[in-house]
Amino acid sequence: MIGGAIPARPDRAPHLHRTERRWIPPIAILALIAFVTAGARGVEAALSDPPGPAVGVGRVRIDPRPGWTEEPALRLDEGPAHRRVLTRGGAALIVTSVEGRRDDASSLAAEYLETVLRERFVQLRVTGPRPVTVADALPGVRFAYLGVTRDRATVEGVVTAATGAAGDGVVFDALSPEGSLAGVASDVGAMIDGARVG
Amino acid sequence: MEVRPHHIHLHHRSLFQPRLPAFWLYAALVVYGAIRIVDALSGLASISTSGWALTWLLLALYVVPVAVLVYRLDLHEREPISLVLGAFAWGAFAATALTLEAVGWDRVVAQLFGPEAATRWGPALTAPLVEETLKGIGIVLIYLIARDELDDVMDGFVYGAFVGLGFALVEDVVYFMAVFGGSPADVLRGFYVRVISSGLYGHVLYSGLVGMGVGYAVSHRHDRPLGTRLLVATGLAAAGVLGHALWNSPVVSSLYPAEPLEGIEWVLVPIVFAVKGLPLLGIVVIAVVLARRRETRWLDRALMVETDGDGITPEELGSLRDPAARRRAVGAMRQRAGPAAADILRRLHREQVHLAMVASRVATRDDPALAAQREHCRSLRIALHAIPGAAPAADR
Repeated sequence: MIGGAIPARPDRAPHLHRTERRWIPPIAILALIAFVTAGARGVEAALSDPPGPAVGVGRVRIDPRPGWTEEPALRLDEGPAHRRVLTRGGAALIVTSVEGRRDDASSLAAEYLETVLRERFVQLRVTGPRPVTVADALPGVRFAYLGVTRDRATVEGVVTAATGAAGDGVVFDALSPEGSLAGVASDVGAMIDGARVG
Repeated sequence: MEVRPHHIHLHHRSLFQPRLPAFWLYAALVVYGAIRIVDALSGLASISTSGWALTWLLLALYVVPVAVLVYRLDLHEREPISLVLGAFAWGAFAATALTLEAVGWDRVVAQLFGPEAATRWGPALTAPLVEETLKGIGIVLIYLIARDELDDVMDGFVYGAFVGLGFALVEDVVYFMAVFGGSPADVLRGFYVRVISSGLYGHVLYSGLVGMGVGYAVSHRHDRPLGTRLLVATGLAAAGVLGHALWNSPVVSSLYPAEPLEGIEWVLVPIVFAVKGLPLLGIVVIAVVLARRRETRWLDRALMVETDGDGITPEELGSLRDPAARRRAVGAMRQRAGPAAADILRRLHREQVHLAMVASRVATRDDPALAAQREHCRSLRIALHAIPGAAPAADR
């Protein structure tokens, strides 16, 4: 038997009672979260230009999302090969089309990896390709990569390759500084899915 | 004689405080985050089933020991499990999901410094501020839900570290599967780079520092002016942000060996990361050691004068101030008087720590709350000694 009842834990002394302003701190926190998230969108919207006209890349048409602009200095038109570069902040979507390709999407992706990515990066890691469906329900392949440039910047990217019904091949190369690609993923996905090929 | 200890309501609060608006804000954001993150991660499993399973196994090997280590850092008062798990859940779900929403700041960097600078320095300029702010909000919410539980710098470090650990877990899953490739070999490579080589320096440290800032600001409300508290708290949080920014920056990256790694280059990887991460790790270790020593000094100061009363004896204080001695005392009690006695002794230790808290907060030694807490400890001691074999040898 316990010798004497064990008292309940004493309440805090009255003069130590702290008045809790229950609502103000959560409201302030919600405002801070809104600023960190929606504030970023607000800044982006304020700095963004309205969506521009469709960008033609050979026989491929891309509708840039708001905030994405084409870099005219990076245009390439060499015979059947065409390239346009869309950027938003530190992210870029490089669209390369080749007319009259008869290869499948896997071959196109492999060639892009060997001739473009391995040239661009001094260190490169890639995932295995996986099948996807892109613009106009075209079958394609997609792989992700993590590369280090010659000036030691780490870049993450996703390459999507597809071949249109008319034999036009297109490669969408979305890239950004490591850790920020997820932030533009929805825009990139919308532009790829909305592209018109061939 | 059978002893049935009374159920004693300790001051430890649980995470679940439905009367507090802060709890509902926390819950809503964690649920939102869980839905968002589970949806985002679910697509990764299709990359490789074996890689997916290996990812979780390897991350468990990292997360569990780190969690145990951090949890046991608090010498005298372990935090309630529901609160530390709540901190972990905030980091894993709410902070990660909200980070995904905070897009657009990179464009501000590009507008201010140009696209090339944004590509090179963007991750160092935007992600640390955004991520540490969102993780820090979780620590503040934990405080608002259970103010009594975040009452010193070490508590802040513990909660902050758990927020960071949850964040790191989700981030590593994405890296192992989506960035490194997802196959078992890719996952192992990712584990070597992100955990073995650099796991000591990362979100656990950054958020731990932010948490220490929060802990300092709220635990010195009665003995430091607001300006001093804000200055110190901001400094600690800034150290976390700057450590994160240095980690994300291209500085020192040129030392990283070229891919594919061969032979001795595998050893260079942890060395390069150590150059980036060791300074911050050193700062945090020093801060934690200082905080633990402060805790012990506080315990001594608060309880030394109490040894002439019923709350604690000099012998009890001797073992209370040393966690190893406390564990030995509980072990010895279990051996000579059984598990019930060991349980009461553990409760006596907790209430004697609480005696120190009450003693350090009241104005006079005859304060009713202090007297009641002394009596509470005395009654626990009486209950303990009533168990055959539990009384000290001199009393038997």
